[in-house]
Amino acid sequence: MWVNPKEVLIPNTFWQNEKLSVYFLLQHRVGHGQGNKLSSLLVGTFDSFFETKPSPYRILHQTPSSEVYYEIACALTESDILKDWEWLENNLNLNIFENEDDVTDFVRCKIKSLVATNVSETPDEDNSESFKDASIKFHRLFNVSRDTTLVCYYACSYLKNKLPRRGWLYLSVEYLCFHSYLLGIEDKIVVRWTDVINLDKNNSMLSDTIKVTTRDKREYRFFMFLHSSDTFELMKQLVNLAMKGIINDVWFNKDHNLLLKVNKYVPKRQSFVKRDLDARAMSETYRLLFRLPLNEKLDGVTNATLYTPYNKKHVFGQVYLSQNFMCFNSKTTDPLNVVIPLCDVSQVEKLEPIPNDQSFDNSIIITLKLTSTNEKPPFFIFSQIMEREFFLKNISEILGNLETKSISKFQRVDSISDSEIKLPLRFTFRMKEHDNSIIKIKQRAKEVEWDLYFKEHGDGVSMYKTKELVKMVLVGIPESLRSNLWLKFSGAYHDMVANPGLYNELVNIASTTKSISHDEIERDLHRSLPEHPAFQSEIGINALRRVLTAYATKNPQIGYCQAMNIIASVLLIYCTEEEAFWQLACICENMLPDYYNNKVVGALVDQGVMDNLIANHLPFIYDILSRLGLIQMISLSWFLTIFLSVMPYQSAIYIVDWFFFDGAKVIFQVALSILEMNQKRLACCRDDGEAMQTLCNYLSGIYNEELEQSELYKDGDKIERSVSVQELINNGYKKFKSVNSKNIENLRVMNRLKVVQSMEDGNEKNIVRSLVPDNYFSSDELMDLLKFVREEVVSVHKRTHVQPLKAETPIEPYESYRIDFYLFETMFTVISPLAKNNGASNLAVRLFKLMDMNDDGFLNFRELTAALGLTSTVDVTIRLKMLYLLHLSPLLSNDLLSSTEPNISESGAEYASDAAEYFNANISRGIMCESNLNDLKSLRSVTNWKHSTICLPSMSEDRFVALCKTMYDLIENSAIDQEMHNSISKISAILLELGNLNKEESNKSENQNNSEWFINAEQFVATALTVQKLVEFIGARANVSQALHELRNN
Amino acid sequence: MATRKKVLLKVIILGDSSVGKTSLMNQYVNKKFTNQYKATIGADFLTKEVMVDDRIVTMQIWDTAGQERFQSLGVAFYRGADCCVLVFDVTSPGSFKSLDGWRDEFLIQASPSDPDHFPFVVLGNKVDLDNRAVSTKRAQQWCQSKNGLPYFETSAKEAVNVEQAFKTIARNALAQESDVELYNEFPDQIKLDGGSTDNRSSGSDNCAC
Repeated sequence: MWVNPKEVLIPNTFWQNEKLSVYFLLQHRVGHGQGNKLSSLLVGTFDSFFETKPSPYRILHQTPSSEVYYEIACALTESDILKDWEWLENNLNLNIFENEDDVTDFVRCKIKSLVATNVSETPDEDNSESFKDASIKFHRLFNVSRDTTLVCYYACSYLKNKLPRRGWLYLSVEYLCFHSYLLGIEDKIVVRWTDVINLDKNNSMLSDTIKVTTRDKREYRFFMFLHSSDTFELMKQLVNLAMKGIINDVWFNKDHNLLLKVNKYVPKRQSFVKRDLDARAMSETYRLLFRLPLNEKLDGVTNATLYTPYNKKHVFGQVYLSQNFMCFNSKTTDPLNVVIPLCDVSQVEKLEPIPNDQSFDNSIIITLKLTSTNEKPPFFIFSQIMEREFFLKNISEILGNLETKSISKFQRVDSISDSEIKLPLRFTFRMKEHDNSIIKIKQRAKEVEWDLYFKEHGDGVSMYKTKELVKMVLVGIPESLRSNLWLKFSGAYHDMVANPGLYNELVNIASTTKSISHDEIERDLHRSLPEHPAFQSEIGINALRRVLTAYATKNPQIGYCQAMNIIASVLLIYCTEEEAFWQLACICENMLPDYYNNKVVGALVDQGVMDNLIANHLPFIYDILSRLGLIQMISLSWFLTIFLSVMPYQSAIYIVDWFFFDGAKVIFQVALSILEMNQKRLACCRDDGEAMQTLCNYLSGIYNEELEQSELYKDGDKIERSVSVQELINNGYKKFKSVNSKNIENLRVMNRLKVVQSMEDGNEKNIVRSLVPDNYFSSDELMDLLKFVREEVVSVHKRTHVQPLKAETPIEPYESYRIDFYLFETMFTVISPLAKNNGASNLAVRLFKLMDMNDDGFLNFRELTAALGLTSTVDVTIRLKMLYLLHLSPLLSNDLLSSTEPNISESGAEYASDAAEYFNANISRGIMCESNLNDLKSLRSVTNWKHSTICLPSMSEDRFVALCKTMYDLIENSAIDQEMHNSISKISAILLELGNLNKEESNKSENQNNSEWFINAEQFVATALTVQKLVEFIGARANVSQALHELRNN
Repeated sequence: MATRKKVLLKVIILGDSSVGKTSLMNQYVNKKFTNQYKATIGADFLTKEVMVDDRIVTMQIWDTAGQERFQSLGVAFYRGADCCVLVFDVTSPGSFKSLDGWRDEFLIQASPSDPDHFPFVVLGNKVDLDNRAVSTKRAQQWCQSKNGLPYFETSAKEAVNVEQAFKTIARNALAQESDVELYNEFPDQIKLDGGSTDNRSSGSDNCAC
């Protein structure tokens, strides 16, 4: 069995050598004979699958000149280990490598990939069976909704009152659960991921402890995991999914394509969801590594070497394959990165082995289509592909799928001619620097250098990206190449090519629509890059308007966020409109995710990341900033505008060059560089203002060496020069190399948690504050209700697929919580005294209909509190009026009245759960005609008791009978006895008599004979109030927290 | 009692996007106007030393982003403010309507000790423009309804009333400042929400007693 290579320092204690080769060593453990019985332990239950058992055989890898050994395989029997040994001898050709480090790199990588494939190949029907059992157990143990799926479960201990409790940790997409049953004591923990505010893993003396903190400030500590880091990673991923769910209102859905793939290639593993999550994580890393479009899903990875024609070498690395791309990344110390869009591929074939040159063994050659700039088609040779046949089969399958889709690509030609009219603004508006001969010469020299690079490494999307390229980017891309290289480095190119003509279409749509975003854009057009002549002219302003409104149209969830205008205007100087548009889209959606959404969450998250990085890399400065109270304050505009708003744009543009090449980490590296260079100045500052001013002056004074700027201006004032942007970048690149994307992603997860949860807290407080004046509940009760609804809201979202709310529709905070009928009925039943009976569903349906002001089948949180308050907290007089009102037309339709069966309660919650459907059905049956809807409206206006003086309509006899029935129902289950029963009979009789009087009265007064029996609300209320017990019963103040507590524990 | 130390006043300018917050601040501090300002992202900041009632006072003026989605970021800036300036554009009724929201938001986020008497000053800016849409009376009525807030009609472009307005701002802030010192005896409330736990030290060490 292959194991992940781990270092072994002293290879010979307890171990005896059996076989030796140049690079490998087979050993067996002293004192362990053959045919030992341990093997039986590996068979059987899932539990033992996770246990570690000492294996008596192992293989080590070592290079002759190295002291370090790596354990790469272990086995329980000699025959097993010999199989591995043979495989090594037959399959690994290590002579092609020039140095020993490469050999070790290769071996380690190879073994890792074998381990990875082996894990997924473990068929283990037992496992999937036992997983099913675990899943059933999970649902039995914990009262969680049926559609939540178990992802993974682990044995671990939970620290309760300083005592460890051994049990099982169950992780599902929505919950973290723990169960332990020991010596007759049962422990159960259920935590929603959306309630987690912190996850922490620390190393204690005994074992890794994972600490989970929730919104109600509770802490749970779990330890004694077998694979604590795997568990922790999964927990992080799940909590991150939950946070992203809250941010974007998009919740986890299983990827069903993956399901197909599972069936096709890979045996089932323990949990499909776990596999799905793993695949997501891998695809995400893949997309980040190669800057691919958001929907790109990784298909497979394999080891290979890539032939680099420019230096005639083979570079060892990994080949990645997905639906539209094939990519390569080196695994050696020299970075090399290649992206091949599959639509550019014309041919894939095997390369015949070259005699006497093993380095071309198992090769495939990929030839690209001929483009206008190349005389002969570019090609790529990948060698040493272990599973070449399988790989070829895969790639041809993907290419086959591509053919059918690529027809739309041919339209590309039309749109190009259209957009070419709109040249980059730097052509129309020339800056004075353009005429400076020294600058011209410098630019020309750079261009020559780049031309040389292109000749050797290719100039298209699929160029070989080497470390020389990084160096060239760091000193600034020549102006003439910016648009082209930005597009290709950032990956915006792929989206642009895949969506020809979309930009023009969006511009057309945007020009005929009106929205809040458009107004906001209009206000900022002249406040984007006013120092550039292009934006002092209508030409530039119009272009900017088109790009921004087109983007707001494309992505209404973002719409327009200030800062986008500044970025877009700089893009427009160098790019055509269409290019600028796609570049902007790429920044907003891909490179700086969630930065510009309606709460700028992404930028806040990264501000938190920045603080972590400062604390780690510049602890001295961290102390200064904390002292000044500047933590979380300095950097927002740095992130949102990629420094374009804080330093002269001609300097910041160099950072943008690097940003497009290396991604978001660049912003952090530059920011750290800025702080580090200002260490002394900041240390002298006495207060936050002085520090802000210091940084502000420093940033405005950053100049561009190349432009020969002797003077800098800001808002017309001369500014002192501080440092050249070249030096700043260089410093950042050299000193903060360890800040990488992986590092940042990790920090982002934790900070996202903090930001989202504090935002949710703020939101909750706002909601409660805004609803206290309604006077239905106290603020504590409101908070309780809100917490309860919040707990349910995730599953409600999932069940109903609510469309994400657009950024530009301003909504009240309470509108973000929408409650469906099912949840409403549950809450109504436990809270309101009017609901303590069998017919409560009937009332609930009518009450729901009454309060659902916009008839969308949901109550927002405010409507919910009103519905509950009007039936359980307000004065008894109003409650009686409500009871009366709920029996009026159209709420209680004639149809319902005549049917003998109480049809809602009979058919149960499932029927009622989709209240909207029910009402629609009624409409279609013609029961609720237009005039009835109007009546409903007037009834609704009555519910606003404080402002309304509208009288309730009178009630007919049959409705009154229904009302009496409801009242009887009310006391049916209560302990209140005969006396109460009699009282209700008594008031019914009185009211019947009153109705008759009313009839005679009105007949008399109008000299008619056709008046019907009726009573009015005042009569009902006045009569009912005479019965003290009824008043006490209906008027009881609901105990919200107790009711919700009961509900939770059911 | 020893010589009085220099006093630091923190002033926050709030209001909808493009009502002229940055321009007002620059007109007051730098005595100049340009239409070349970029939209403020996050927050901007200037200081100015002034004499108020024989005391030298450093005004620290914080200019904020006006777009609604930046509103929730104010927390960090609002804390410890001595005065809040609410700005609207007299040609834009929308920006006038938003004043309520800005005021509420500020009171919630900054949570001053005495919210009913926290010094706000209201500025109706851009009076140099012809297309006025919010009448003086309407604005004054609103200010009256909020415990009689001082109201000024300004033009950052033509420097109308800017100096006077900021003088009032400074005076009111100074009054608030001495009030605040009384409250500083009490330990800070412990806030558990993330990101806002930084203790502000400025302004509290002025007491020479």
